[in-house]
Amino acid sequence: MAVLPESNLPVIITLLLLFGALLTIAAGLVRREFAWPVAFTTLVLVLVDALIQLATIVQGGPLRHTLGGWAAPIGIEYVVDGLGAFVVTVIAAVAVVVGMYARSAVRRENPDQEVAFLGMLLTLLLGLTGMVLTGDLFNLYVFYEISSLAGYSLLAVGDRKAPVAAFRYLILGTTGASFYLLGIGFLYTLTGSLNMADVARLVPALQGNPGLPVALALIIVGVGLKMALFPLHGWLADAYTHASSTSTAIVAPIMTKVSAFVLLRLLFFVFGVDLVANILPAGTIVAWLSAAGIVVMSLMSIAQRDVKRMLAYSSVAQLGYIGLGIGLANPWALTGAVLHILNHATMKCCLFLVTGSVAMQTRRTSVAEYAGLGRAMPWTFASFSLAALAMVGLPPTNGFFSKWYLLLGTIRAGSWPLVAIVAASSLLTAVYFFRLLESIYTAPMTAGGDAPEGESGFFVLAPTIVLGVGVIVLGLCNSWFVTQILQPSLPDALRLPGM
Amino acid sequence: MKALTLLVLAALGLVMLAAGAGLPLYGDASSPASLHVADDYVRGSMKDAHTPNVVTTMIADYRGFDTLGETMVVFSAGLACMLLLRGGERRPVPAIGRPRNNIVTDIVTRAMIPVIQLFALYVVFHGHYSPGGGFQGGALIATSILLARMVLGFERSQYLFPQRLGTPLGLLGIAFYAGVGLVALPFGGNLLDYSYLPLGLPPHMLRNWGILFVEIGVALAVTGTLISIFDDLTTGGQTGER
Amino acid sequence: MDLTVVLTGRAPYAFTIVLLLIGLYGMMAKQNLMKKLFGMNIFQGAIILFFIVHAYKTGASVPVLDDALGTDPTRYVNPIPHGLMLTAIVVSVATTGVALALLIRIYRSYGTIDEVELLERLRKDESR
Repeated sequence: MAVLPESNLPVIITLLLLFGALLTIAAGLVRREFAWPVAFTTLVLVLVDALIQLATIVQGGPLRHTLGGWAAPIGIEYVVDGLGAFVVTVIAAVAVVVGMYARSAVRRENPDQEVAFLGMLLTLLLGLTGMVLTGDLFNLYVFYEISSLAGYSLLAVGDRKAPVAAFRYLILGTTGASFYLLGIGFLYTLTGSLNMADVARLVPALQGNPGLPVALALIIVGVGLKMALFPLHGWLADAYTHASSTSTAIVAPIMTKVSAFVLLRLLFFVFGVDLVANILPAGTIVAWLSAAGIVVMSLMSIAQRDVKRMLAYSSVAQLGYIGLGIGLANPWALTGAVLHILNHATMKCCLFLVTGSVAMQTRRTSVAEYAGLGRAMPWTFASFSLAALAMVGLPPTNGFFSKWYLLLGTIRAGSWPLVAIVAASSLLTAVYFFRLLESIYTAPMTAGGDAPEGESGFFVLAPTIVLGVGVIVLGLCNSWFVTQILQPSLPDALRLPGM
Repeated sequence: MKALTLLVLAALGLVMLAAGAGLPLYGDASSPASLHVADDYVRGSMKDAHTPNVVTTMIADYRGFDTLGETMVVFSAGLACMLLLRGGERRPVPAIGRPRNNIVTDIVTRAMIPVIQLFALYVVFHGHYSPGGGFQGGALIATSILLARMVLGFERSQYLFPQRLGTPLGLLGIAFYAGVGLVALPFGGNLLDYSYLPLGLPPHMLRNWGILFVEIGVALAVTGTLISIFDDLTTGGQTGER
Repeated sequence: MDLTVVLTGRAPYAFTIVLLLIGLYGMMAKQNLMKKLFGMNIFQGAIILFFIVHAYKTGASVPVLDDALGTDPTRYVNPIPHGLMLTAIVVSVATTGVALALLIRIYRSYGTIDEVELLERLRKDESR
């Protein structure tokens, strides 16, 4: 295997977030107002580094950082290819957007805890970026737990029910993490190594060993729980609904996606495409569970009266697309899945920012209460409409392109039920979004809740508009992402023809 | 419902036991796990870091990044308690924080605390040569303070370790650990490569010192965080910072 | 196959699986949230034990290098699982700490940590 060039770029992201979290808290303990500027500066610097890293990898190929100077498998290494750099950039970009939103939102919703909240936000990002960057199985577990603990606490901040939802998530999430740990325990006992590339080399020799499929199953369950893979999604709806708007805005777009990416990484780069797609039915099971998730969760979304809860169920359904793409394991489906990581992050983040700003301005949370707000907060809802159209999958929004690749993937796989499910799901999505949009724009404003005093402030409005516009821009640029960034990183068996 | 749970668990148990057939037998010294990377650690521990305790070398040097992450986990837990429990209205100190007012426990505690702390320091500094290290020592120091909190009462034990010191001490510990790791970067090394520490010693001694430094960092972080968690859980942030 | 070999060779692994199931049972079947937390701790303990069990070598000593035993790896227990489990134990403690903080918050808001009663009070909260 070719030796990858060493670079400090990956590890700078981790260091920035680590010291950023520490400095944010230290600054905040001195004076509360100092916390946000430190936190936001950190997020901007992280985005800059992520972009530089992405550019370097697109031009020069994957990078590596050998920690402690000990070459793998003796030591731990960071390994970043195009896919990883892509996901890290998505995380960093969403973080900057939410960071800007957090300035007013946190002060409005939970001012007493601003310092700890911002510190925890940076800790969450530390965990998530670490999960993507690392090339070591146990190191992944450590970052998984960092992001999980941060996730539990962030989601526990919100209304009165938030700690209950967060506790349920904690129990399920820790079970998932422990299953993952047991899975890598099996892998370690069978191979003797914890380094991903090393284990990938040793796995083919283990075929026929009953421990191997169990390890695979444990890891899929472990990562699937955090990814809200159907039917392991039970924690998500309550947690997202009751958490504060900033918490949901930072957790919903990226945490489950990172877990999906980790699943992709483990299935295809550690266990190997052959094992997952042809020898063991792992890919098929993931694909069908995801498909079931898409259908059931879309139907559940239609039945919801609370907007945030509707979006939460919709998130699980959208994650089903990503899971389906991974499970099908063919080039088109996989391209669609990875592209959807970026697309869904932007769409969902925009939608949750809007629900947050509406809740802050008017305390309205249900579909009925949203009636008539379109005229009172035009810019906010213009962005909302763009994001909603993207969720349904209308061109030229970005949502269309990832669904298109996915549809091609299901056709190539020859599974007509799956083709029907992907196509029909757009229709189901349209039902609950168009119903909401109709209420927002055409119905008269109801009496419940406060009347909005015009548009939200700059710090809330600017991120919302950026995402709303981004949905169109990313749609137009999607082929660039696919050819320049995604295709070179996929293993040969999974590239689109002609790449 | 319970019957269904038991059924599912029984099925899971059988699957796991069947999988066990593929795993090496208990005590097998030729299992893959014992032949691959572990061998290099045992053979390299004295040569690379002048440290007989292989586990310490492994967690603080070879896999030092994991330990940095783990320290961050500990700190996140402290931060979580800070986020969830501080703020809000003042509450009376619960029973666990009130002094026992019993002269026997009072005197025994005061006698025991310095002994515990001395042992804790031994555990931290002797971690190279016997089982021990930063986490263990840090937890022991925290234990001595928690003993004081429980027996002497929250108010009267403040002189030993004031509540507002917990979080800053935790921050200092991690910053120190990451700082030691950071030293290598400007010299062209990789993060956490202790052989770049500017102490003018041969590489294996540099790593020995590097391990000691990070263990001290970990001990500080764990001490500060565990005490801050206990304080937050018992007093609910009554007198804490935001 | 020699039965004693099978039993002694597999018994520790089987024991960790039994502990695992007990922990899972606690998490799934118990109503009291604190008992669920205990179940989770037992579950994590079982996984830690799994790693340690597979680190053992018959007749080997603690992984602290001793001049009498030299650097022959077969004389020392596998150090890797021990080191990894130090991390896992700390993670378990941290998670328990966060869980306890959440339980305190729940108790303050609703006055109970029994799941059935809690659901009852949550429903009453909603209908208000």
